[in-house]
Amino acid sequence: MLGHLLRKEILDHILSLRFLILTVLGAGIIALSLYSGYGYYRDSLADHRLSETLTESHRAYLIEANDMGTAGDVGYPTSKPPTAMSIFVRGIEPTLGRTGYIAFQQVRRLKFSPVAEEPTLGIFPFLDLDSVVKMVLSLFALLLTYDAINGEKERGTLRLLSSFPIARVQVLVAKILGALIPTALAFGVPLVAGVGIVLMLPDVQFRGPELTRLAWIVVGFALYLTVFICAGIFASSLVYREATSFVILLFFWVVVVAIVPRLSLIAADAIRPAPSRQQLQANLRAMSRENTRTRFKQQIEWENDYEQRMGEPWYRSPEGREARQEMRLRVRDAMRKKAQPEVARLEEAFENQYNVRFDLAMMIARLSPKFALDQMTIKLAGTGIGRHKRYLNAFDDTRDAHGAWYWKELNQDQLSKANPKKYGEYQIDYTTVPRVVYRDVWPDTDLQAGIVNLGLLALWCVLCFVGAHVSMLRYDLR
Amino acid sequence: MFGRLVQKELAQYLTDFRFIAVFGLCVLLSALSVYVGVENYAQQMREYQATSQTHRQDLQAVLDNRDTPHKGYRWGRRPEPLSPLVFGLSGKLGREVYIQHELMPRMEASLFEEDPIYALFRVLDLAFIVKFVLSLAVLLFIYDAICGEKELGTLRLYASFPVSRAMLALSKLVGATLMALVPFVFCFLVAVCVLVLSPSVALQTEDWLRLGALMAVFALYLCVFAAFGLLASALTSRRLTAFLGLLSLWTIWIFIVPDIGVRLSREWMPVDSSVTVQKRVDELFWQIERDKKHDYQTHYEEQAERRRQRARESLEQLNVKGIDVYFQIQELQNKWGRDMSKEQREQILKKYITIPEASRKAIREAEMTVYRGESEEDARAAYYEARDRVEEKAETAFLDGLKRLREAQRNQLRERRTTTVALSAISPFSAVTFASMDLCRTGFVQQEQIEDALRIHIGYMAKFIREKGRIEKKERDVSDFVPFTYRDSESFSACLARNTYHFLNLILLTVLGFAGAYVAILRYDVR
Repeated sequence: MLGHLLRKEILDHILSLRFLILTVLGAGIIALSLYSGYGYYRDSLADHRLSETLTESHRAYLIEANDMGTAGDVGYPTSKPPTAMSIFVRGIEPTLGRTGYIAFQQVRRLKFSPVAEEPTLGIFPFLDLDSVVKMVLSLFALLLTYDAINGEKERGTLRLLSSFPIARVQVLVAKILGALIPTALAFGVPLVAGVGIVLMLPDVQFRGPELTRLAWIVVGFALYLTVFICAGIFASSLVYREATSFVILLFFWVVVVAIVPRLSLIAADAIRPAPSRQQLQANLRAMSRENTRTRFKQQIEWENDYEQRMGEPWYRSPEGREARQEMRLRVRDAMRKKAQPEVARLEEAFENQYNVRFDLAMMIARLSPKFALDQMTIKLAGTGIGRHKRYLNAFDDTRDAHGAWYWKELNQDQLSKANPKKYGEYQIDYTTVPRVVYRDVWPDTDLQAGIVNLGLLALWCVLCFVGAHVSMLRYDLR
Repeated sequence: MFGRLVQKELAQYLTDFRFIAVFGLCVLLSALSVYVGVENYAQQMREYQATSQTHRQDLQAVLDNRDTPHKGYRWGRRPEPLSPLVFGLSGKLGREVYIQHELMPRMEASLFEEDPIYALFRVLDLAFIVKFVLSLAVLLFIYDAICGEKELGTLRLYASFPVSRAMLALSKLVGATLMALVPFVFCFLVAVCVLVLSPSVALQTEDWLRLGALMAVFALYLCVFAAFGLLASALTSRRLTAFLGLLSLWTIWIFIVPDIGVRLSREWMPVDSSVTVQKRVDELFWQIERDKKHDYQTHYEEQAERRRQRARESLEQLNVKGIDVYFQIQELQNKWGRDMSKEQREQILKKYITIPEASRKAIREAEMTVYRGESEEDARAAYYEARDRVEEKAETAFLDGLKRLREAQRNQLRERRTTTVALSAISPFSAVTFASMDLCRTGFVQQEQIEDALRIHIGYMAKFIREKGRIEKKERDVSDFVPFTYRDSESFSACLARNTYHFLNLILLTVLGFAGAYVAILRYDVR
C-alpha cells in the first residue's frame, strides 16, 4: 500500500506544472552557478600565477639592488593560491586578503582581497553552487511541499486518502519520500552532471581528499534540502489553508536563511563583547617602543663603559667595532627574549576573548540549518577562515625566517666590516632570502566538525518529521 | 467611486493577518538592523580615532626629529555615517593606506580582511531588509490581488459595479501599490529615527538630502515588484501559478541576473588586473631607479672629466720636461681603465720613471692645485644641482607613469562596470544596489576619489622631501608639511546626476510593469 501511495505522490509531483517549472529553473541555475564559479576560480588562478611572476621579479630586484635596506624594508610580495573547491563553495574567500609582503616596513597582514581590488565582484550576492542550494533550492523545496497535506484537503482528496486502510504515519512517510525522490532526481542529476563536467576541465585537478570532501558537501546539500522538505510537510499539516502554510514557511525561510546567522553575531556581541584589535596593537607597539628605548640606552652605556675601560672610543679599533657588534646582537636577543612572554600573553588574552565570542556566535548561528551547512561546506571547501589561517601561519613563519635571515646576514656583514682581517670579505647572497612554503593540507578535524553539523541537520529533519507526525495525528481529515 | 474602491483595497490589506505579521517583522528588523549598524559604526569610529591618532603621532615624531617623511606614513579612512543604512562595500574596501612617495598608494586592511567574522556572519543593514525581505513581502501581499479575488469569487461582484474597467484597474493598482509602500515607509522612518536618535551619528544637511533620495530609490524598487506582482496576478487565473512565477522572477532578478551580468562583463571586457598594474608600476619604479643610478654615474663622470680637463689645461701651460710622456700615460690609463692587468701596470710604471723627478713634482703640484681649487661648497652645490635634476626627473616619470597606468585601468574598469550595469538592467536589484550605495557614500566612487587625491598628495610629498632634503638637518624646518586629509566634498546634485541612469532604469521597469498590469486587467476574464 505504501508503494502505491508513493507512486501516486511521485506521479503527482512529476506531472505538475510547478514541478516542471522548478526543475527547469533549478537545472538552469545550477548550470549558471557552475559557470560563474568556474569563471571565478579561473580568474583567481590567473591572478595567482601573475602574482607568482611578481614575486619572482621582486626577488630579482632584491638581487639587483644588492642592499640590505631593500631586502629588509621593501622585501617581496607573496600570494595565497586559490583552491579549486571555490568553484563550488566560494565561502568568504573573495573578501579575504591574498597578498602579503615579506618585509619589515609592511604590517603583518594579508591584503588586497579580490573584492577590494575589483568592487563590482562584491556588490551582488555570489551565485555559486553553495548559495544556490542554500538560498534558491531550499525555497524550491518549500514550494514543492507547502501544500502537501492541506492542499489535498482543500481539493477534497484527503478524505478519499483517509478511507484507505493505512496508518497516518504511512501517509506522512509517503508524502515525504514522494517529495524527496523527485526533488533528489530533479536537482541531483543536473548537480552531479554539472560537477562531473567541471571536474573534467583542464585547470581543475582534484585528488582523493578533495573528492571525499566534495562528496560530503553533496551529502550536506541533500540533507539540507530534506530539512526543508520535512519543514514544508510539517507546515502543511499544521494548518488547513495552503496560503497560511505558505506564509508560515516563507517566514521560516527568511528567518532561518537570512536573519538568524546575521543576528547571532549581534547577540554574541551583546553577551560577550568583542576585544579591540586596535587596543592590542597599541599595547604591542607601546611595548616595542619601550624596548627600543631601553636597547639604545644599554648600547650607549656600553659604549661609554668601553671608552672608559679601553681609553679610546670603540670605533677606533677593529676589536672595538667587533665587540660592539656582538654587544648589539646580545642586547637585541636579550630584549627579545624578555619581551616574548609578555607579547605571547597579550596575544593569547586577545585570542581567548575573541574565540569566546566567536564560538558563542557560532553556537547561536547553528540554530539555523543554513548556517550549520554553511559552516560545514566552507570548512570542507577551505574557502573560510581555516585555510586562510593555515596560509597565514606559513606566511608568518616566512616573515620570522626572513627576520632571522636579515639579522644573521647583517651581523656577518657588520662583523666583516668591523674587522676585515679576522672575518674576511663578506658578500651577502640575496638569492637565499627565505621563500613562503605552503602546501594545501586537508585536516581530518574538518570532516569531524562537518559530521557534527550533519548531525544538526539530521536533528532538524527528525524534529520536523516528529512535528509533522504529531500534527498529522491530530489533523482533521474531513 | 474611485476613492471608495481604493479604500476597500486598503481595508482588505489592513485586516489581513499576513499583512500585519510581515509588517511587524519588517519594522522590527529595520529598527534592529539600524540599531546594530549604529553600534558597529560607533565602534569603528572609536577604532578609527584611535588608529588615526597613532598615525598622527608617528608622523609627528618624524617631523619633530626634523626628518622629512620619506619613510612614509599611514592614513585611515573615516567610516561613513550613513553606513548603518546601506553598508555597501564598507566591509570590503580597504580602509588604510601607506603613503610613501615611491609607492603606488593602495588601500588595504578592509574590515572583512582584518576580521573575517563579519564576512562569515554577514552584515544586517536596512538595504538588505528592503532588497530581500521587503521585496519578498511585497510579492506576498500582491500576488493574489486579482487572481485571488477571482478564486474567491468576489471579482465578479467587483465587475458588476457601475464603473469602467479602467477605473477598476487603476484602483487596484493604486491600492495595492500604496499598501506595498506603507510598510516600507514605516520601516524607513523607524530606521531613520533610530539613526538620528543615536548620539554617535551626526547628520549634515547634505545627508538629509541623500536620505530623501535613498527613500525614493527604495520606494521605486518596491514599486517595480508591486507592478510585476500585479502583472503576474492579472495574467494568471490561479494564485499558485502567479506566486510560482513571481518567486521565479524574484530568484532570477536577485540571484541570477546581477551575478551573471558581472561574470559576462568580465568575460567580454578585459581589464588589467591589479597585479598587472602593480607589476608595471614596479617595473617602472625599478627602471627609474636604474636611470637614476645611471644619471648619478654620468654626473660623477662629468665632474671627473671636467676636473681632468682643467688639470690637463694647467699641465699644458706648465710646459716641463717629460710632460708628453705623462700625457701618454694618461691616455693609456683612460684606454685600459681601472682594471688593468699587471703587465699594463708595469708598462705604465716604466714610462712614469722616465719622467724626471723635478717634473714629476711639478706635475703633482699643478694637479693638486686644480683639485684643491675647487672648494667643498662648489662641489656640494654642483651635486645638489645634479641631484635636484635627477630626482625631479625620476619623480615626474614615476608620477606620470602611475597616473597613466592607473587611469588606463580605471577606464577599463569603468567600461566593464557600464557593461555590467547594462547587462543587469533588466533586474531592479542591480540599479537599487548601485544607487543606494552611492547615495550613502559606501560605494566605489569615494574610493576612486580618495585614490586620485592620494596621487596628488604623493606629488606634493615627493617635492617636499626633495626640497627639504637639501637643507642641513640642523636648519631644516619640516613643520609646514601638510599630511593627507580627505573630505567628501561632492554635492548632492552631482551624486544624483551620476545615478540618473539607475533612477530611470527603475522608473522604466515600474512603468513597464504597471502598463502591463493595466492592460492585463483590462483584458482579464472576470468570470
